[in-house]
Amino acid sequence: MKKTFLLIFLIIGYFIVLKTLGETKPLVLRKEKFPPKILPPAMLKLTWGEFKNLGADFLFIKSLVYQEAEAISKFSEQDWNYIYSVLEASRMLDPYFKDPYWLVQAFFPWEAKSPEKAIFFLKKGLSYRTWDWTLPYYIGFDYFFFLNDYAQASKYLFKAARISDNLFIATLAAQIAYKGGKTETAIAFLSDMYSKVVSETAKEAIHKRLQALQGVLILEKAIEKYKTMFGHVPNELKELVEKGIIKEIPQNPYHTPYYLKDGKVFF
Amino acid sequence: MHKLYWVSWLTFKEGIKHRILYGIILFFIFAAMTSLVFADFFAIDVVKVGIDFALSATSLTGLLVLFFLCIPMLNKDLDKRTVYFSISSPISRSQYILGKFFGLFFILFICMLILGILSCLLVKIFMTLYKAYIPLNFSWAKMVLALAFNLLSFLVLLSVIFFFWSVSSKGFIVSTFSLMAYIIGTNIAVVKEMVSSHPGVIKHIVNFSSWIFPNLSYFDLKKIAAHGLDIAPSYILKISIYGCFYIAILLILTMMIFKKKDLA
Amino acid sequence: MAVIVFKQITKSYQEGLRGKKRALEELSLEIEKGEVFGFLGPNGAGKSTAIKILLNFIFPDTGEVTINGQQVSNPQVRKHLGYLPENPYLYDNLSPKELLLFKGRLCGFSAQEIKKRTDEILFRMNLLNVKKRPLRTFSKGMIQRVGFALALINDPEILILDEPFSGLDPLMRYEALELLLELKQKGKTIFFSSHILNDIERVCDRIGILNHGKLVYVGNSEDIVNEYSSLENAFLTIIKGHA
Repeated sequence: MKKTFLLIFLIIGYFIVLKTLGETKPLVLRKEKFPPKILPPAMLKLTWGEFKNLGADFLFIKSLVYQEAEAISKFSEQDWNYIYSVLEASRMLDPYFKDPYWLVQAFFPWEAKSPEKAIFFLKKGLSYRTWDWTLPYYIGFDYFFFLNDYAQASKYLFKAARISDNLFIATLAAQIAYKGGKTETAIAFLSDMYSKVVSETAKEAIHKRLQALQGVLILEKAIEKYKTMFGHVPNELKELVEKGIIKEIPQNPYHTPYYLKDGKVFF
Repeated sequence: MHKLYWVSWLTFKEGIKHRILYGIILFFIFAAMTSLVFADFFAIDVVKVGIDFALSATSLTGLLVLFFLCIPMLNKDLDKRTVYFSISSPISRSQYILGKFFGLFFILFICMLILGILSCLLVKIFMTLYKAYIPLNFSWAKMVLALAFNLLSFLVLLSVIFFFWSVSSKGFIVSTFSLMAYIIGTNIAVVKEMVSSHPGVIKHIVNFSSWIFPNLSYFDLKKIAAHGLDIAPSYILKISIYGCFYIAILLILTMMIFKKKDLA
Repeated sequence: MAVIVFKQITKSYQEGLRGKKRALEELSLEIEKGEVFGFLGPNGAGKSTAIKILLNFIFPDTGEVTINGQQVSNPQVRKHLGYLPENPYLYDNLSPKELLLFKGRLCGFSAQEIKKRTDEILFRMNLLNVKKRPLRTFSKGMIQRVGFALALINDPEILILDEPFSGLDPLMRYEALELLLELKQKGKTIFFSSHILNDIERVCDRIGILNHGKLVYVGNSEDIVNEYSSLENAFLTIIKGHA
């Protein structure tokens, strides 16, 4: 009889204590001032032993969970460094695993503002995921969009074209190789990337650039028309409006005016 | 020869009725369900994660069978003197050892068969749920290959267990040393790589260890199965021969030691 | 004709870090065909050690043991041998039927023969209704009876029994003794160790007394009773004399 009462009392007390703990997260889950340290690569490999693949999966989820914890836009450089090292650890345990590469490309060129890091990370995957054309494709895009390095961009796009046997990518590569390429090329490239990117920041940035380039294209077509009509390129863009070729100069989403220099449109 | 059969038959019958085998199957099912819960976290390589879970659960379960069924069975044989029952029959000690080994081999084989089928089932479920995310070069043949060599690695470990069991009668020692052999065997390749740039005594010790301890990472084909990577037939042949040689050497050593052992 | 021959058997055990305990000291003994030999001695005298050496479980330091002229290291000597250990520990998950099948097949019997003999022997042991039940459900007495069955399944010429009556209740002890007498009638050679003197008296032709690893007395059971008036008397006198 006594024992029964004692048991009931203990159970009630247990649930009360549990309720009081309630919303408090266990110590291990609380966000610290500085992101936690990661084990060095060799230790990681030894710890996971024959389950390295599983370790890679687990670390990838770890990076996701860390991102869920805070809004990505508020991430500091330290936060991004932590994510990078977790993804690097995951990649190192299973260098064939697609998701770390994908996640790096999704956020590092945009939110983290480190396209070089993304390129560096993606390049590591080239010798492993030899069948995956998206790796060199993303590298090519990063060189093109962020670093304006058209030589490298086309080099990697050619690689992607070879692997995927894709005519569109091959054309892209060729045109970019040709001294930065035409506006249409850039628009095509960016439209394709727009459909592929994930983060909102990325979508916004690409959309903005696309709009700007659409404007450039309109102006370039107008200049061509002017040339056939008058035999020479105009000196200023407003001449296109004066001569009635276009109704108005398109709005630049970057809020700087388009201008003409050596017959080419810039913004 | 038929005497070997009967010793393995006895060993198999005694072991296969062990309740722990049911627990092991339940464990696998639990691992499978966990994987399905976590699958949604992944962006692209979802099916690869399914394969990871399936093969890892199989590997872990096999290890559990080795350490919680095979080792206790062997230890009990000496502790409880049930070995007298076999040895008092007209069989040689070597026949006893070989028969026991094959009996436990068949138990492991049955386990791997069941777990293998469950693994493939889990992968098939993943492939049905996430059709778009099947690795490009996936093949069932590679999956089966990974499972087969997983079994071979268990047999290599089993021969190590037999060796330690013949040397020492204490169950605790057999378990500890076998576990040590497993950990070293799994990681020796990584350690070898780590010390390759540090010349000196450590390098020689590690090299020496890689000859003595079984290099289990040779039999780990999880990455091949998960990503559908290429694997050369010559490599398959080499690791098969390596495994067989290692098992044979250790079994012969075991028989030699056991032949001279006082079964007090 | 001697079927079992111990020749100058010595066996020592490691005790602690430095000590060596002598379990058997120059044991020489011959057991004749068809005789029932009782092996007596206080606990720790070395009886079990001698039997284990006979069955090739352990190896003597010096000397040799032969059965029917063959070295005991030859597995074939155990084909016509039946052995009952002191506390038969048998595989828990297996049934008497399976264990008897194993033993019978290893001794070269066919499946049909074993089936027949299994039913006969289990009937005799009063275990026929539990033929297929796993041993973990058996009582101690039942397991002892399974042990007997296993010792007899191959119709052995020689029986080696290590303390066969320990742990048996009086009824079972009586049955066991009857069985031994029956086997004796059939001309089997029986070598068994015990420290229950009554049983030895009733069954044995010859008796050997072991003390501290030494064989201190061997003789016919009739002679020993004549000389010392009872086996108990003989045992106590001899043991005390050689203390």
